[in-house]
Amino acid sequence: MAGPLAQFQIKPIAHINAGGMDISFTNSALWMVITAVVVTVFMVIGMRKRELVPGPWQSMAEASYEFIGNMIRDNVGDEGRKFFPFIFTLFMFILFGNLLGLLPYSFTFTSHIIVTAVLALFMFIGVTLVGLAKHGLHFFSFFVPSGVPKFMIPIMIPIEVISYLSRPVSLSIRLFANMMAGHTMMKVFAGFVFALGVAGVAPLLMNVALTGFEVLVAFLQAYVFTVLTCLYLNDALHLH
Amino acid sequence: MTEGKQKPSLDELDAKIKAARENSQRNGRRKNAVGDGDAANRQGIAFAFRLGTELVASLVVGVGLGMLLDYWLDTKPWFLIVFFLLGAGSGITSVYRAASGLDISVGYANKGGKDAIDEQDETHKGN
Repeated sequence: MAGPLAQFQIKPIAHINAGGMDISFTNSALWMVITAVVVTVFMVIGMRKRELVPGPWQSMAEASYEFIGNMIRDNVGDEGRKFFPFIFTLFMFILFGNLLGLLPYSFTFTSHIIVTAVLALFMFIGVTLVGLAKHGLHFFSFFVPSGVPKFMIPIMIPIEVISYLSRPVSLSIRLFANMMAGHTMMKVFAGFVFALGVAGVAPLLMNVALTGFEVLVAFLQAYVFTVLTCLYLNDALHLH
Repeated sequence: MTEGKQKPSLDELDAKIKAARENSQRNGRRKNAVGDGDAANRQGIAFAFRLGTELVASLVVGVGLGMLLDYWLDTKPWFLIVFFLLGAGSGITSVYRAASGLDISVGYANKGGKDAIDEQDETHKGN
C-alpha cells in the first residue's frame, strides 16, 4: 500500500528538457491546467444564458463574483476595483485547486510549498510595485512608524522590514501546511480502515468527518489568501 | 383587461420584494448584533489560522536573513543572533497588531486609534 506521503509525489508525464533544465510536464502541472480549464468552463458556461432569473450555475457564478466584489469593496475601497480580475483569478484558482485536490486519484498542487510560494511572491511583488508606482519613494515611509521615540527607530525599522518580508512566507506556509496536513491525515486514517478489520469502521467514520472538514479548509484557505491580498493591497494604496 | 390585471400584480410584486428585503435586512442586523452564526464562526477560524503562521513566518524570515548576512559577510554567528531576536520581535508585533484589530499593516501609524478599530469592526461585519 502507498504511504501517506506518496500522494504528494511529483511524477513527470511528458519529459521536456530545455538547455539542461528539466521542465517536464508533471502531474502537478496537469492539475493546474485542469483547474484553469474547470474555472473557465464554470464561469463561461454559467454566464452564457444571462437570464434575469438565474439558474443554479449562473447563481453560483454570480455568487462567486459578488463574494470577491464585496471583499474588495470592504477591504480596499473603490481604488481596488481595477485589481478585481487579478484577485478573482487568484481566489478561483486556489479554491478550485483545493477542491479538485479532494477528488480521488487527483493531485493537490496547493499542497506544495513551491506552488504557494510562487503565488504569494507574485502577489507580494505586484503589491509592492503598485505601492511604489503610486507613492514613489514616499512608500518607504511605510517602514517608519510614526509616534515612535527617536532612539527606538533603528530597532523598529528592521522589525518592520522583517514583518513586511514575512508576508509572502506566512501566506505560502499557511496554505501549503493546511492542505498537506489535511491530506496526510486522511491517508493515515484510510490506511487504518483495512488494517483494523471490523474495527475499521471507526477510522472510516473519522474519514467521513475529515472529508467534510477538508472541504471547509479548502474554502477557508482560499478565503484567507484572498482577504490578506486585499489587506496588503489596501496598505500599498493608502499608506498609513 | 390584461393590462388592468398586470399593473396591480407588478405593484404587488414590488411591495412584496420590498417587504422581504426589509425583513431580511432586519434579520441580518439582528444576527450581527448577536455576533454568532456561521459567518462569524468561520471568520474566527480564519483568524486563528492567520495568527499562528504570522509568528512562525516572521521568525523564519529573521533567521533566514541573519544566516544570509553571516554567509555573505563571514561574521558567524553574530547576524544570526541579532536577526533571530529581531524576527521574534517582529513576529510578536504582527500578532499583537492582528489581535488588537489594528491589522497586520506594517508601520501602522496610530492616527486615530478608535477610528481604526471601528473600521475594522465594520469590515468584519461586511464580510
